[in-house]
Amino acid sequence: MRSFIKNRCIMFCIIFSVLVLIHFFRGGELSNDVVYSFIFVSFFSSVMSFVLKDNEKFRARRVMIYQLIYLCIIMVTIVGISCLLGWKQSFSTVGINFIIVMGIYLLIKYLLFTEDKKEAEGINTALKERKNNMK
Amino acid sequence: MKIIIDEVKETQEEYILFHIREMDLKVSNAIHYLENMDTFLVGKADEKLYKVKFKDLYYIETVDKKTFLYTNENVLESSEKLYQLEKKLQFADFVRVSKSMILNIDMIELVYPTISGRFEAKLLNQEVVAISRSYVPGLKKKLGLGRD
Repeated sequence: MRSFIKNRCIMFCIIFSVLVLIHFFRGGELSNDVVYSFIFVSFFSSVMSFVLKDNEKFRARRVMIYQLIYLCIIMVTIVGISCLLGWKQSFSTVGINFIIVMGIYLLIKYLLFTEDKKEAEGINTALKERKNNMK
Repeated sequence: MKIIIDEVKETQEEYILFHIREMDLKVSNAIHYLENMDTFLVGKADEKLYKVKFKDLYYIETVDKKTFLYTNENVLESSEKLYQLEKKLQFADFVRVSKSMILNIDMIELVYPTISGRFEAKLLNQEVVAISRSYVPGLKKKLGLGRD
């Protein structure tokens, strides 16, 4: 449970920071509405990531489908918030938002994969040492 | 005969060293006893019971509420539940890697992550098994890595 909360917090921070950075580089103003919407999207995205929780019985294909469902949920949330706040939604806006969501998703995937790779390397080194000690 | 016992850390390998002038019956009996002491499991195949040494086991898996012992050549059914075997093997070189599998650490060739966010272990017989993320800390602990 502790690691679940910790991971959700890390995810929240990454998503929120990336959203603020993208908004900043696009020259947008950080009004209260924008900050609140970023907080909500970051919070919702991190909490909803339980959808991606590994279930041992699932095959890789099913995991990929759940990942797509997760991305769809995030996109619907963004469009929903934009509508609630009265922001204009054109196809291009939705397209840009989709690219941003995919970008953040891939970034987090990459960061997690890099971390997992390091962890696996540590395990492999320990396995090697163990085999050498047993010789 | 003088007996000296040194305690080692949980992560260190246990071993017994004999300092003897010559091999006699007493020592060979002791070695025989130690080599065969609870280091095997019993599995059934073709209505026959077989002894499987720990070191020959690749992994133990539960499929449809039945427990199977996997060696390089055979698959044997065990009458024991996975949690019972886990308890039995807690001081041996085995680790739980998923809800349905206990893996022999010595049979792991390498561990790697996958794009879907899982870990997999390639075994010495080139078979690939999944390691659940939640059991990675247990594997690391058994190898003397990590905190928990």
